[in-house]
Amino acid sequence: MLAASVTSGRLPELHHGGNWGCGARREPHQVSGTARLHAGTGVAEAPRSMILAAHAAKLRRGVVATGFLALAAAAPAPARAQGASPTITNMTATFRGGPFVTLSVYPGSPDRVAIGTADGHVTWSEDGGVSAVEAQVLVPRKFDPVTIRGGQRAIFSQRSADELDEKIGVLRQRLQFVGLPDERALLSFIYLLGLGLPAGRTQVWMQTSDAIAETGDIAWPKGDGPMLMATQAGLLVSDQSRFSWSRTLGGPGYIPREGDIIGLSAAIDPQNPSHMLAATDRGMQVSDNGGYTWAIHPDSDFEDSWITHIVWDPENPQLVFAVSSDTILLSQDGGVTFEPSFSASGEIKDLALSAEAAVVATSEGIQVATSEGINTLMPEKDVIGAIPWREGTLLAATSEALYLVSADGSFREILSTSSTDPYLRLAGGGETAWLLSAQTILRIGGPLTRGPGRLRGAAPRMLVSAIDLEKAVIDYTGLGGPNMTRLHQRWYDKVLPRVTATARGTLFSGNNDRRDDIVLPFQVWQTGATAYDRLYWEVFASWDLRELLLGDNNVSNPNLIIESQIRDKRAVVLEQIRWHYRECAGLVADLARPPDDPELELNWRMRLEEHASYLEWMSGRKVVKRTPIEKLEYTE
Amino acid sequence: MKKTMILCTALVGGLLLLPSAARAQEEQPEGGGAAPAAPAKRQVSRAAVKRLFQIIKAEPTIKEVQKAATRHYELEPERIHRLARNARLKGLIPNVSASFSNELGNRFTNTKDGLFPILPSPPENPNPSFFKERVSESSDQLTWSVSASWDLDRLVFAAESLDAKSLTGLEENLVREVTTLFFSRRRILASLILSPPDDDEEFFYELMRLDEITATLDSFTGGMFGKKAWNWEKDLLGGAAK
Repeated sequence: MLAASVTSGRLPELHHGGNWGCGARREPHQVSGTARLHAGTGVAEAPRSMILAAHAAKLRRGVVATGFLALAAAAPAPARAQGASPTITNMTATFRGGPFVTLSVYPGSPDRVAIGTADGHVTWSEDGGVSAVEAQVLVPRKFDPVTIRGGQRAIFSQRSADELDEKIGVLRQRLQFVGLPDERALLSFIYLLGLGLPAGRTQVWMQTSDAIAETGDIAWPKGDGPMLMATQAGLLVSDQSRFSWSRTLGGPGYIPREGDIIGLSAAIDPQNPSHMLAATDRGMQVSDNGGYTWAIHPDSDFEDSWITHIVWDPENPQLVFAVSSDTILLSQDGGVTFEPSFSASGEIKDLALSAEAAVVATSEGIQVATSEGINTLMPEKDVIGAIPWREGTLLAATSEALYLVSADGSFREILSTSSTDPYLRLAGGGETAWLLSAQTILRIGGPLTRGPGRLRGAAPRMLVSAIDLEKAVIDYTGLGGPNMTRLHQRWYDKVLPRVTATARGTLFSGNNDRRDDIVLPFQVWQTGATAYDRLYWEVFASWDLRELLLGDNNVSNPNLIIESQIRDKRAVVLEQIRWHYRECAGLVADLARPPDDPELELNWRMRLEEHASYLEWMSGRKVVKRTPIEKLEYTE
Repeated sequence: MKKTMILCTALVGGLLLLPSAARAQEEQPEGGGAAPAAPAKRQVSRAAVKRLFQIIKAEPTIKEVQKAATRHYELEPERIHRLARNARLKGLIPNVSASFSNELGNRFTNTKDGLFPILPSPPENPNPSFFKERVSESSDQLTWSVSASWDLDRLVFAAESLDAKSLTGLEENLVREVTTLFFSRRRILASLILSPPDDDEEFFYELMRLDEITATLDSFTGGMFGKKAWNWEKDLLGGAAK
């Protein structure tokens, strides 16, 4: 970060949107805005002063640092032309696969990055993403498709059958009105669901809800040692190795229930790793023993606020910033007391510090606080993160794009993403930054040294297009298209009859002995014998006209469950296929010019192998032409 | 723990042929000083890479692991295809019913008639009761029946095949899990061989992590993986002994 002082040049223009709650001066060109005042700041009429600038600069440095914005603004005309685009490297391959939910970069050490995944893993790298380690922190329950029988009988014991029948009658009329099948099981199912009653016969294990394994925030220690995680299931602390995690604050069971504490954000004191702060939905928690026990922070400001980020200044551990959606609270005594110091008209998303400035990302642009004042940039953008970058510029991200922002407020898009893979967090600063999306981890920084590669092997090549691959997967797995469902009308199959052929035979034999005594002593007798056999056969065909004309309306509970699972699974599998294919294609492109670092190249090749082997299993065909890892040869 | 330290030392210093000089000892940051710097990058040696590839070569491939896991859980794609196909082919195979019955009958009919004259009965009278008519009948009827019925509509669509195909979901879950675990383990293996941690305790933890995943994969594959997986204990103890 630039440290040069600038004594001339115009000050950055100030805009609406930010309001630092206490401070000193009011710039002559400031505009009174929609300022909100915090009690206790001692400022009557919201001057757009710069408490954070004071904190960020004076308190940290003890000197008045000149803002980098001022420097950029003072630069000659080409300053508006903006700096060169940074090199952006997709480092997803180094880490465990997503979806990702959180990113944490140790302040001032952008090579130390930790990622939280949606399935409860944390994966971290201390070498800028060359290698990474992962640990499972939370184990989500996994349900397999099960067939649950309709459980109306169980409900009859709880509610009277008459009442149920009455309700079903009403529902039947409604469904008939909208043309939906009125089969009794379906009606019962819908009605019971509406009442919140169990609609299927369940076991106890089915009644427990799914563990939410999402990670809210990960806190790094300054050096080695335990990490702290704030998750939906509470606060978790790792052991020294970080492979083993224990929940030290949260509900009694590992599955979160209503009323259990939810962890929101966390930070570890850079000076004393036993001292930790963690924000929860019940306020700030403090630990002085490495996270083993927690106490509610005495500051009443935290009672009703959800702190989404805690930034502990590594260079001056007395400074702690707690970021909520509408306020930034500042502690100047290592987290003992906090005072509101900034509020914005928009929602505050993130805070980044540098030696010269504090950068606040809000839903109404970026607020940059320097010793010179506060500047609002990109006010029309809903910014999820902004960090000071090289040569007086800023990097800013919305959920759709990454921007390089000049000091004068002009900006240009340097990267964009799709709506299905939105950017979630931008962190780091100085020379290296990290941008996280749901499926991708991007490193923004210096160029990656590339060359012919140290691991000699053929450059990998994609053999199948994405569309062909999807088709192959659908064919091979038999998942079929959306019409592969029992609910899809196939009237023509009912034209084919049920054919029955019957053959029956009878074999009969009989004797008849008859005596007639007409006139004694004379007798007339007669004896007869009969034998015959019969052979009978028939073939008949039967058509069920109800099925033929009205279709199969048997939407019973098991069928509903099976159908919904089949449909969900199809969507999930196809999403997986698309993601793995995208990763494969990206890695194939990257490995065309592999990184100079053989370990990184090996990591990338292994990740390619991982994605490709999954795709090849699911499609039953070769997807990527590549040299097997064990056949690569290392050249010094 | 002592044994572990020996093992760690052996692996770090001996077997992998990594020059110890290359290992930069990083000072752990303390207190409120500057933020920790990234560890200095260690040079990967050709011997270490060769050793890694040797280990990988001796272990089961991902395809073998995927096959073993699906076989162990009886979720092979062929099995699922067979189930789905058979569900439709049921339309060609009839539902056969057969029956066999035998009926035996005897009937005796003795008739008296009021008009029938009753005359003196000689001793050898064969009709002492003076029946007008006596009939004796017997019968034996054997009946068999064979019936076959075909649900031809199943040839076009059989809902049962959908249920069979829903097993693909389980198979996909399993394969995804196994694939992820396999490569997670391989990354740990690579990290252990190419750039082992300097700290013995950390090295031990990584070995434990490797063992954990090895055991999980072994369980997923019904005991196939563990037999062929790299046995670091044996390897390292041998190395230490030398």
